[in-house]
Amino acid sequence: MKKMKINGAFLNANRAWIFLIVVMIIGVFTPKFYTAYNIKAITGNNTLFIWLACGFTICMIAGNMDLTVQYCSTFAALICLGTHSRQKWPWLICILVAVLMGVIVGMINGLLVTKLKISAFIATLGMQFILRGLMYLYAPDEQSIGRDMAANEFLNDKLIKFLPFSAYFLICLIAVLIVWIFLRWTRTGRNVYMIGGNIETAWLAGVKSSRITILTFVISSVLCALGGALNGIFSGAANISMGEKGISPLMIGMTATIIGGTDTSGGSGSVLNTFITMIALAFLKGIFKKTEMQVLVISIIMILCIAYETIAAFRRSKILGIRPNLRNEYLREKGKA
Amino acid sequence: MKRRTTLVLTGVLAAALTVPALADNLEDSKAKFEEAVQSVMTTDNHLMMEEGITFDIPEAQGTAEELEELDDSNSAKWHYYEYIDWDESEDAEFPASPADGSIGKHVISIVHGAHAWTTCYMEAFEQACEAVGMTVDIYDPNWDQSVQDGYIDQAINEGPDAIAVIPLSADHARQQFKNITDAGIPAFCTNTTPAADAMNYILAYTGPNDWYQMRNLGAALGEKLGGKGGVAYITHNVGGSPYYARLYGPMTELADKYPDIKTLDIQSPGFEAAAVKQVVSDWITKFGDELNAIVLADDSDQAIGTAEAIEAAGRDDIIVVAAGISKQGAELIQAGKLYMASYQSCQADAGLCVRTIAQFFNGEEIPRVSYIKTDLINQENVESFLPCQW
Repeated sequence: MKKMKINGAFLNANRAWIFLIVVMIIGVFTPKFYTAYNIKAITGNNTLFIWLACGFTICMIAGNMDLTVQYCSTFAALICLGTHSRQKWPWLICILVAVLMGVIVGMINGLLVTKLKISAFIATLGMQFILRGLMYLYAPDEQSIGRDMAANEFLNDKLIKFLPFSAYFLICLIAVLIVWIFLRWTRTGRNVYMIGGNIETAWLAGVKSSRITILTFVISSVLCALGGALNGIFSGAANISMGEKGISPLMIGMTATIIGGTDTSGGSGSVLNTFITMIALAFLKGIFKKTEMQVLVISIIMILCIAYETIAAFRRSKILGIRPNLRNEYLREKGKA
Repeated sequence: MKRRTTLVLTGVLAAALTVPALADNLEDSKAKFEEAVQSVMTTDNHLMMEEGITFDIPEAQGTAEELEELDDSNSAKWHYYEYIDWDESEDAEFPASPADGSIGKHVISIVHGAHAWTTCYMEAFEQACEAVGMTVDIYDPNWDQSVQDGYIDQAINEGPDAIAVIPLSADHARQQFKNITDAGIPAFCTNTTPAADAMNYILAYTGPNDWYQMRNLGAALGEKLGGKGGVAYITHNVGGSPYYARLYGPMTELADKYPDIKTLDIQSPGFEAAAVKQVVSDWITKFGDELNAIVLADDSDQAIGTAEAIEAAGRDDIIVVAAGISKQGAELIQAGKLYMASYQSCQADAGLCVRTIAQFFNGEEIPRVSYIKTDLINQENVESFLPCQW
């Protein structure tokens, strides 16, 4: 049986779970924290962020950043509720139209990065502004759109009412598991890690890196679009300015990705860890009720994670070139192996 | 047998002690309430917790869909925006008043976001609550809809005696207040108007009658213009209730009373003085002498930007009116750069909400919709509204 050793590397590898456990322990000392209503409310209010965080994670594993996640989800919500209220289309068609928008956005992002060789940061930043402009064109005089309360009340009040979380959260959980299985157990999924780790090695191994990169952007945008559309339906309205004035959903997604252990330069990470971190962040927000405190605590945690990774990378770079057998012998002598 | 007798005796004793205590609390609360109404003042020396204004809603000239087809300058079009005209038969079952007095009650107030106005409102809310013996926690979602939704859930989980909300979005309000009322907590809406059907879940709405005050401002502007000229509008945040009230309130009033006054342009540059200055400078270049007046949705940064643009162009003939009133607005009125502003008391807004909540706890009948008093401020009467509240 393999001996488990609790050291810095172990703690770092499991930091998402440790973060969640610590937050849950703090929750014990928070009045009225572990109530069914609170858990349902906390998970429900943060589900959209989980979709965005998972989308962001996939791109980051592939070594890219997708800054369109927030606007893609908002635009999807507007399209979904807009087509339902204006064109009177059934919900399923509205969701599909929103998801199709996500596919197009992801394709464009991917093509800009792979074919035009534009940095993902710049390409998705530009796309973010385009989406923003399109949103204001789509809903020029409206702060919000939609308001189908019948669907909203059915989904929130009647569907799986016995569970301590909403149907929206359950759908999100299923989506996360599907993406996790795809990344971990399929060849294409493993190739995402390979191109993120070292794109040249991936190329030498015969991986079609452009195709995989485009695929990651499409998956990211589809997740965000689906999450945004469902969020609009479940909350009954879509707000054009969502996240523009408070804590940016993009920042929350990025934070969950980084704290969840995804390497900022790509090649490693897990949507499941991002999901766990996002739950921990949601609980943390429930504990620190004031927005100022939430921002402060989350930022400190993220900085600690980044600082650890930077130091670890520096230490790794110092031993590059050392023969592994000698290094292992040295570590055994020092009792660190 | 002996144990049961003991229990019954204990119960009777507890009831005997509690009932007079509750009655005392109610009497004390009523006395405290009367004292607060008479004594708590706004910083500009007006009563903070005055009785609100109520009126009967006029009948709409069609359904919401039919009215949407009308021209923007037709006041009938905006009926459902102007009045909270809801179907009372659809009202949810509201929690009954405990009628045991406001003293000792705990309220959670959820505002919309950080702003000088909000700070003033929060302080006034705390002051008014203290005056009637209530405690309050205030949450500020910093203009973020999802954060406000989260705060509402958090507030419900904490189980206060009442929750007061300034909804960020009229459309989201129904779901927010439904959650509160479904949880059996009295829900009060304040300041921004909710969508009409949200009233089915709101025990009482209190706030400014933005449409009424902006119509008055529009009428005063029309008179000053002598019934002719060109007017341009700088709006509030697009889509919110102040956007409609502060744009279409004066516009429809001018169209009704002074049909020769033209609308030149409508712009929404936000609340940055520099952005507003740019828009007004462009208007002066584009419209020249045709531009005779500007209506602003805000008398602070929007008014500063407008005054700077007018000064730079040397067009002091342009008449500027705004929704108010802030410190900057009052200074501009005194300097003659702002012709008139509406008086919308931030502290009375908070005071009226607290008044209504306290009346509910005191077992009194409360109006479902009531508005704070308003006025028009110009160079002649500005002194009586100083020092400004925010």
